[in-house]
Amino acid sequence: MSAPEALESEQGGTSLPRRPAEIFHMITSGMNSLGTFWVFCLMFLICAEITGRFAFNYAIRGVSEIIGYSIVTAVFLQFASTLNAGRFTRAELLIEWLEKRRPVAGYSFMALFYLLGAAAFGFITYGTYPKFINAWLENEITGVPGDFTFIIWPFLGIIVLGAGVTALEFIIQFFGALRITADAWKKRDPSDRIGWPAMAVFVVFVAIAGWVGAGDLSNVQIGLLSIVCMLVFIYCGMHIGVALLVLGFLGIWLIRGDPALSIRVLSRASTEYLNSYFFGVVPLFVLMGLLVAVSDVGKETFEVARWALRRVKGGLGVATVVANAIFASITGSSIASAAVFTKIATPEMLRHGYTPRFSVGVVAGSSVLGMLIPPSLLLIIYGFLAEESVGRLFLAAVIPGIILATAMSLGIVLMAIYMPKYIGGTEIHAEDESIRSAAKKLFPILLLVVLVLGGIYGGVFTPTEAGAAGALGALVIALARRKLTWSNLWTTVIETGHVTVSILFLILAARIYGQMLAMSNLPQQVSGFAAEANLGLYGFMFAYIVLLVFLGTILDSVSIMVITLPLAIPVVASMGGDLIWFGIVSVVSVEIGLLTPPLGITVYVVKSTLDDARVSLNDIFAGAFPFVIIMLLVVALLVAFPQLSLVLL
Amino acid sequence: DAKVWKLTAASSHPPIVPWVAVIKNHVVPQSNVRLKEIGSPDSIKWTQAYAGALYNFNNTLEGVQDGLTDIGWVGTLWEPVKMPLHNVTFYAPFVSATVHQLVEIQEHMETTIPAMKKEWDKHNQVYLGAQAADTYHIVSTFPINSMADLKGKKFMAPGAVANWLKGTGAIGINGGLPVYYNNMKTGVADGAIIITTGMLPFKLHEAAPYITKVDMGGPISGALTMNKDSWKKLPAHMKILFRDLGRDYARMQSDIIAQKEALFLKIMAKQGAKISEFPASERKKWVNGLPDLAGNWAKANGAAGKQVLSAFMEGVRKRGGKPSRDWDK
Ligand code: NA
Ligand code: NA
Repeated sequence: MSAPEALESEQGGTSLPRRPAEIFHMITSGMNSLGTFWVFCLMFLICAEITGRFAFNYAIRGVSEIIGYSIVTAVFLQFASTLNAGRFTRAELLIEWLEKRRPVAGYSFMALFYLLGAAAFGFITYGTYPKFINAWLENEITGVPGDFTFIIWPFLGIIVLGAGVTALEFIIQFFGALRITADAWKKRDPSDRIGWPAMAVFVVFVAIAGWVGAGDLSNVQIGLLSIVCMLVFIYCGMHIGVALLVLGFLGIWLIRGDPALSIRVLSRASTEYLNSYFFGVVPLFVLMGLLVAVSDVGKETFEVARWALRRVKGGLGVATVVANAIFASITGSSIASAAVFTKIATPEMLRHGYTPRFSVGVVAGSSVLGMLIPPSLLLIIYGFLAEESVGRLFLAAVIPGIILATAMSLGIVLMAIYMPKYIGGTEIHAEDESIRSAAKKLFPILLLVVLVLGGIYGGVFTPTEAGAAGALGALVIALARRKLTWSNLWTTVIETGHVTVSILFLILAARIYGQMLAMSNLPQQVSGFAAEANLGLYGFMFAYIVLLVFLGTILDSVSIMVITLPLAIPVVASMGGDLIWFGIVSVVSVEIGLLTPPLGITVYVVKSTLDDARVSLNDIFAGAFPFVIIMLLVVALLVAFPQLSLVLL
Repeated sequence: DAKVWKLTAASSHPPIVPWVAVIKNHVVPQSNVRLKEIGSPDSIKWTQAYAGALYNFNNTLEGVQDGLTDIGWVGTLWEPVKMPLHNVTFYAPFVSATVHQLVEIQEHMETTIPAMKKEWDKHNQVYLGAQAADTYHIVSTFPINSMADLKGKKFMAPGAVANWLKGTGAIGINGGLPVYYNNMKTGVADGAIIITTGMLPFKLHEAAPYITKVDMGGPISGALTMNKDSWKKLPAHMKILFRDLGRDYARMQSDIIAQKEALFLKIMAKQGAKISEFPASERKKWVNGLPDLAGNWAKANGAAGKQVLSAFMEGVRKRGGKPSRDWDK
């Protein structure tokens, strides 16, 4: 249960007077809808630009600038609502246990974390307000004079408003958490139910960190201290974005001795870092995945794969992998894949006597294909961080994607032969399809694949624009098949907003944290050290992959990439490693974390989609474990033979 | 007693591009060498953060302005609104001048036209050294011999460069250099308007093997600057030292550009690029068919706009450059 739900169920309201709080939440949810609708409109704008350019040799100027500004404002419009929905990413491990079992400690931690969040967003508001006023008074414009220009104060105004409202939301949550803490204190158990040890450890840690930080540290030591603090805060369950923002802020202050610089950095990054076409398409890729998920395309792909593989040992497992691989070529997110196939493949396997563990494991395992086989959200983010061409990255991922899918299928067949008890399952004699019916069922997905990949490699649109074209295509298919009602369209679009905001908030916060690290000189020294340590490229890759897998146990894929890549990319480049190859290896390694406990996003998605008490989280992690091994083997293969990634380029 | 100055040098691009390489290889190390030479006991402890670690390409101006870095290269080419006067070359195309001529002209304008200095003042920084680049050509997937060949084609042309296509029947597509290769490879674009030194590093000639030397003129594209608050704290002898390094910077980065321009053309030709000259008569047609880009730009920028435009054009003529259109007349 996320914090806000807990607030409501346990006390039936926040500690603010009911009426103002209700009005406030009406405002934030209205802002959220506006942001959501705005992003939805971007899809049509991009498609209009593609059409104009391709069909009429007419360029709509300024589209990329409009999209850049739009995504920042949409994110700020949706921040408060995303926070309210409990969608700011955090490592739940410890904090959820505390909240349930030791509520005094758990909620006093959360109260502190909310307060820090309020401070971070307060500083963004404080730093951006003068810019807004200035832009307003001077009627400041942006763009290219003589080409297109537009005024910017409305954008800045929305950022100020959005950040301010988010700070307020944090304060409301803070009071809510305080109230629960107080209630829990009143109801406290005579035995040790307070959680003193946890609180004591945290207080001692903060005291030591503060004492060390107040001393005369070198910049590199400040950087190191910030990394230790980051790990502790994240493990304690602070929102990862908030932890990175706060530590970035404090670190810059300590390094340069100037709090005003920290505020300038915070505000500048908030208003300008996300202002990019790259980030503008993130929601469109998410939307495309979610729309495809509601349109039953995945279900029919699975039915055809099941029929085609009916004579293969472990056929339903292999069918899941194959259907997932095909589905992956029209969705950019593994979460969508996991949700779709949990619904369609798992019940079918259970019905045919496969063990529950295997039935959920194969879905979790194979859904990682969603973010490897292009299009892929992770590769888009990598392309941004490494300044590499997304088109080349997509192309490079094709063979590794096929290898991973093949390895997983092979693994399943081998398990079916040598460990039949582990897998279970009976022969299926489904002759319920014909070539003709199969073709008919595969038609919509093939249409989308042709639209997306054909559009990219046929020169109609760029890989970044493919999100818009694909989302529109998925929308049309969902409409044509009458799977879309106004209400589930709205749910889909709101969900898109929340996923996007949680991703982009991490990216923004990690940027500020990364700026602090760069000022501390730590990355430069680490790169120098790695270069001098004579690890060689392969030694470095080994250490780096181990680090990614380790971080993958507690962090989500995007967080890991934004934290580690700015450090690793220069090192790899200096050792002569190909950055496209490095991107593919990084993405597969990072995706292992989707399947490993305690935080394995895909496993969580399977669990929450399945909603079956007989299958525990542990079962899914155990079931996914063979696929972790397979992924590690594939990573080793990809590292050893860079040509597998590079041959298509 | 010796004082240790803590300064930061940063950039949006990796230190392999000329305008950053000179910071890393010359400005930073030479600063301490020269302090010693003038007998100062002081030294500078540099923090270096290149390749976008502190700010990326669209925030080079703000990076120095905010004090994220003390010294850095500012790409004025990305600031047509905040630094309009520094963008004169983008509104006065087809003015042939070498990169060395361009930095001389820029240096002259920066030091004699108050409105140019004002643009830096407004963004809390001090100009140290000029930065310009080689001339714009076209790289394309198809051969170009005449104006007619351009019709209906799509070219990667960022910002104001898209205006240069007006009247040709071609359109400009926005996008950063990293996407050029893929866009031309897949056919989203048929070519790009780009400087020679940008073609080879991104292997553009592999996706689009036709290089047509149109010579649309090189850009005054940026400057080495220092944050004004940091500048004020420096003693007089260090200000002189950094001014000197700024002049070194302009000269050395021009040397590298000029050398690379010639070398890259040779390498690309060897690797199979088909290099040709755009016919002079067609070029004349192109430039005369353009709207009064510079005139409109100067009008929009008032008296200072006119002053900068004529200083630029005069500077080119005085140094033996060849404007194909007298934008100031
Ligand atoms: Na995909
Ligand atoms: Na994990």
